[in-house]
Amino acid sequence: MEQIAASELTAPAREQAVLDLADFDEVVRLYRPRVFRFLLASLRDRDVAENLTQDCFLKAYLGRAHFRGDSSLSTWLMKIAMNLVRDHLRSRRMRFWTKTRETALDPIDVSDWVPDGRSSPEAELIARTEVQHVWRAVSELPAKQRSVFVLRFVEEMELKEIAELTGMNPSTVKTHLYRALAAVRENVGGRQ
Amino acid sequence: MTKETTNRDVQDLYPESDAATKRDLEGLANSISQFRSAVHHVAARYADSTTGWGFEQAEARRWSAQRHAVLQWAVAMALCVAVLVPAVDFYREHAAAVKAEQQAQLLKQREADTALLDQVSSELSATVPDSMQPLAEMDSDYASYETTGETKNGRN
Repeated sequence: MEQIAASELTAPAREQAVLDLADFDEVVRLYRPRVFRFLLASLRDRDVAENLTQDCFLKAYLGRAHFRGDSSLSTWLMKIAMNLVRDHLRSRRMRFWTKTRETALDPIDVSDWVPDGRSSPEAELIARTEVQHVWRAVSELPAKQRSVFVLRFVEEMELKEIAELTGMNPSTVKTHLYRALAAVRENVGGRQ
Repeated sequence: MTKETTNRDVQDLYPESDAATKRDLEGLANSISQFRSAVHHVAARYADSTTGWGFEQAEARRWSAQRHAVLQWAVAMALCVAVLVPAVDFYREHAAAVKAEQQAQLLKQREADTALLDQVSSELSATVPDSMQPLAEMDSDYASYETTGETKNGRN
């Protein structure tokens, strides 16, 4: 169901999507990794991502009566997660006195998780450095571009789905993606 | 999304590119692909180590976060008041002191003006010297003529 766009949902699928919410534990089990991953990649803070994941499912649970099945359950949850990211970034700007959290992810920590299977230690080192560069470049992107980039390249969503989720035109999504990619390319190229 | 798919996606955004640019874009697609793998690994690792979801737990955390936010704003407001009230008091005291000083200066100026006027009138009312006596008589005659003339005209 994850990859199905709203317009492609058939009536039984809609009903199924609505019914899925009845067994909410199953909904959480299915979609929690994706929501958490999106929040982690967007905010780069483990604790904040964990808290917002909980908030996301709480909001979904409280608002499950309003879910009409117009979009897929995944899209609906990701939309809630995206709104939470936006609210969090806004409130963080307001609370300028709060210090940088200790649970913020370091690009070096992230690059430690590059899967093994490289031919040589040099190749592994290069791969880790590349991941660090992309991580830093993505963290420097404006919020909208970062969201679009993460949804496309980390969550592997189609442009149409991203457009539905963000409320933007597909062409606007493509523009954001192009700009994000250009910025990442420039940053990664400049650091190498 | 495989490495090839990412590569195609990246190439799609730069359709008119030469061989060198294409190689560069392949490198970028490769980096993004590795970035995705790393994010997936990190998220999976952290997701495994965290506790499960529970409605009560989530709601309690939300209430706690809301209380925390309200407390932060309350402290910030209290700090603002603690800084602003003495600042306003200081400003008022300073303004009052400046006003009092201005009034004192004005009073002193008025006193000086009064003294000067007194001095001028006392000098004017002093006895006219002998050499100036004819002029003084003429002046008094003219003054009395003007007064009587005006009275007559008034009657007419």
